[in-house]
Amino acid sequence: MAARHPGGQQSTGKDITRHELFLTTSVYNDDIPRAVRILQGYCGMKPQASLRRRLVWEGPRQRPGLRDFDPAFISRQPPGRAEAWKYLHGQMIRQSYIITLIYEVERSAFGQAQIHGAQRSSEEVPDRNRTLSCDQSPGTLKWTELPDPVDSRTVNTRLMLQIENEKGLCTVIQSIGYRFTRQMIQECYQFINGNVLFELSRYLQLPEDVDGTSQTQSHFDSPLPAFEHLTPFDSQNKWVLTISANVFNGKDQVQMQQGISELMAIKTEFEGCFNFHMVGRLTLDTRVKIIG
Amino acid sequence: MNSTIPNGTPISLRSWPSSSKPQEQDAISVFFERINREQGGLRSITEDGLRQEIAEAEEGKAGKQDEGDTEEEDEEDPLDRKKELLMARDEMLGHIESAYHSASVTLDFISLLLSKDTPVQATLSMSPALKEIVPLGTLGVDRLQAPRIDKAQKDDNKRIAKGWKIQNINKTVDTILDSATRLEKEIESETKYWGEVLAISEKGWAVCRIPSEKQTLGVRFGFPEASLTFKNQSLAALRRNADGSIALDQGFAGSEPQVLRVRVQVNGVDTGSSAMPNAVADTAPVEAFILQARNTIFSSELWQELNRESRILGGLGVQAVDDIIVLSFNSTKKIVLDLVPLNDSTPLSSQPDDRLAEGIKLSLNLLLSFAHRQNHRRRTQPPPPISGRKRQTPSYNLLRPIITRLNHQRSIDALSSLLSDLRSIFSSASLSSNAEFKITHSPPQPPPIPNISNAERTVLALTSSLEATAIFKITPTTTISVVSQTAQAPAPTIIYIITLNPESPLTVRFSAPAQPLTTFTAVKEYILHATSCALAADHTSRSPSDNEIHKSAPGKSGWHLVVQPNVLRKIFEGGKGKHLGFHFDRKEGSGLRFRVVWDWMRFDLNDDSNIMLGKEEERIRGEGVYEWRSKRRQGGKEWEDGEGEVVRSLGDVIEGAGRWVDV
Repeated sequence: MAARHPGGQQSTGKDITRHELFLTTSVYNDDIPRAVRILQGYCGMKPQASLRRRLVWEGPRQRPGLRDFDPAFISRQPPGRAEAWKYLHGQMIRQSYIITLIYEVERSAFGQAQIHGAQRSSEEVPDRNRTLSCDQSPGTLKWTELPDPVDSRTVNTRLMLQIENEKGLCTVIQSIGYRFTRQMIQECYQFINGNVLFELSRYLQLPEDVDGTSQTQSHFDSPLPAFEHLTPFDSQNKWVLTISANVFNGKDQVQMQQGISELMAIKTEFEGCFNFHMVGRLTLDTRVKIIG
Repeated sequence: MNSTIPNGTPISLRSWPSSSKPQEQDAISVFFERINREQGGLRSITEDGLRQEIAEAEEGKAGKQDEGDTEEEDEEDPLDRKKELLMARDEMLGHIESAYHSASVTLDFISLLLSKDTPVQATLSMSPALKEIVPLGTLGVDRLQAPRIDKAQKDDNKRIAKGWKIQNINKTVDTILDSATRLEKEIESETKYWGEVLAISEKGWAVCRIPSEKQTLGVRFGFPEASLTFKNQSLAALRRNADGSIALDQGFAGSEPQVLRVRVQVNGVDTGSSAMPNAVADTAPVEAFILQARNTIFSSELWQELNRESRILGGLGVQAVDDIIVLSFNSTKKIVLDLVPLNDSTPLSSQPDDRLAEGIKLSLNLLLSFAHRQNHRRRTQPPPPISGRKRQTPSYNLLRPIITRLNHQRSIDALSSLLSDLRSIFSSASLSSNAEFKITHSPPQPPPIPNISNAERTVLALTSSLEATAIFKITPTTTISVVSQTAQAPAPTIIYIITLNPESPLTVRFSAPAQPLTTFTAVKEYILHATSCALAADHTSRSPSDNEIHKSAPGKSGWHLVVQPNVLRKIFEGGKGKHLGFHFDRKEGSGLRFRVVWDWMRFDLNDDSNIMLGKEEERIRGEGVYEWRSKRRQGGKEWEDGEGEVVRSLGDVIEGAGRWVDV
């Protein structure tokens, strides 16, 4: 299965990465029903609600720790997807990044540990040969470069690569020396209007002590606790509304200008309702500083 | 008052005679002055002299008028004008000064009068000259006589005043009552208007503001997933009538109500028509008008998309001529589509093909709704990256599914007819009763699209690939399977996949086509030829092919296949051989024919290239032909009792053909 980009196009050859243009704003939790109604009317569609499990992995902090992907893994990939993995390999062999693996989860997946009893005790040693349950589900690998310098731009822009619908991502990412750092649940309402994607999200964190275990390597593979036990990542329980448009070729000024114009038009239309703005590029820096 | 009079201006010490004093102009003294000045006295003036002077003056005017008179007039005109202006200015200034003096005197008088009671205020308006001349408070005023208005007059005045007051109050009350009545009517109208607006909203219609008239409400009656042209025309204003009822105003986009009409025609004559609704009556509620507007815009969009699709289906028998689209249904019937206005006429009488026409119309409506649903699905998917290429909306599949289904039906009917004819012939020829065929339709398999509604799944199942399988068992050892599959893109087509059972002897000599066939004619030819080959193979002998058969052997024995798979050969002792050929053909109008031909071999034993199958004029003893036809005579009629002849079985024919006959 070839790598897919937002929009479901198949990538061919060099057409792997995309330039993501985006603006964000925050919305208070009490205003969410109103915000959803406004976006529903503006986009002419019902919200596409989803829950996503985001596993955050950090690359090695020392240069010898940077490892290649297994060549056999890449050679097994279909042509379009192999190009994506090769490109990613080229980036990750020279620089360590923070990579996010995203899995769509159903509401019913939460609280399974409570229903079926604890799956493991604190004395149980994780078995490296055990098949990870997250590997059995198709997930999305998302890699983003540092956002471009702001200069005279009016929107944030950054290079992005997404490999969707891939199984075994956790094993692959572990094989190149990346370690799991944390996970969070993204509760999201999605709307689409033309070329622009509206995502209204909040991020929830799992309780720190799940069944008395600390965050071990297998923690990301554990069943999810009950949804009610999750706590908002933001202390004020604010949501983030992001409007984004992807551009095929970031060096094509015509395409970039079209994307920028569309986002700015939306920003102007929502003035007084949502205050879309740019964010500092360093807040979205996914590079890991290599020490040695 | 000094004026800047230029030095060159002549100044008269006497005032000019004024035209505003006509009585002075007539005074005798004025005449004497003029005579003394102009004539130099009265002594030299005589009547004759004056008349002569007048005549000369008139003659002189005509002669000297060009230069001298003109110069004199030019010199005098500006002077008169200036003097007139100066005089008018002086007069005006005189009047102003006079008025000023009068006003000043009056002001001083009043001030002096008031100085007795309000000295401070009076002092402010009193002129300084008067203050010096006359001390303050020296002028008073008092009533000398009592007013002559008596009590009766006073009472009368009071009554008049009261009357006026009552009259005006009554007028005010009447005005207020009128306003109240008008307000009450307005409230009733508004209540009725908002009640109807609420009723429209509660029935599910989207009510919103008109973008160009923010103070006017409108209703969106169109379809959100329609093309942009029709989306822009799908907003109508809800205007309030005088009585508060709502009138639907579609503005410039409003058009007469229309509907798509589907007719079935045979040789230009209508044999069926879809139902034609009547236009909404003027007295109907506004919801009926909204529904009618919605149906009209739906039909308009359907018509536009049908025209758009028909342009690329010309090769499939779809024609767009003038304002109609014609689609061929079968060899005799045509489907005619057009957009017509709703009428109030009585409904047409029922015709035989009304259900067919109505079915096609409903199908087109459903397919357009499905196209809208696909637009919605496409629009709500995460968009592809911006690439500079404009995203094209693919043309809707409206006629293609109908054409595909019609083609599929025609194909199945043709296949069924062919196999029925074959079975009929087999029956006539007393062949194996196992010659049966069966056509099964594969259940529809909609594509595995997630989150799809039942309605969409149903439409996809009915319009995606249609498949049917025909299995025809020719002989106990040979079975043909024909799978018919439809495809809609890029154009509606049918492909036929033909397979033989592995045990069949035909797999060696006449195997099934490796590639699917694309025409029914090719399928028919294969089936007929395969049947003839299978029958030939079924009547071969088990003895070696080069054995000569005794002349007294039964006719059925000793037959062997040759290069041509539908021909058998038999060699009698002495070397003389016979050919036996099996052949199927089908002609329009006369049905299917099965011929068996036998003749003596005329050429080299090993050369089978010139096997002759029945040139009647060259037939000799021992040769012949027999044929069976399917149970349809020319014209498609069944054989009547007593017609035709007794049909022989194939076995008997082969037996007769294979017997030795001395030539």
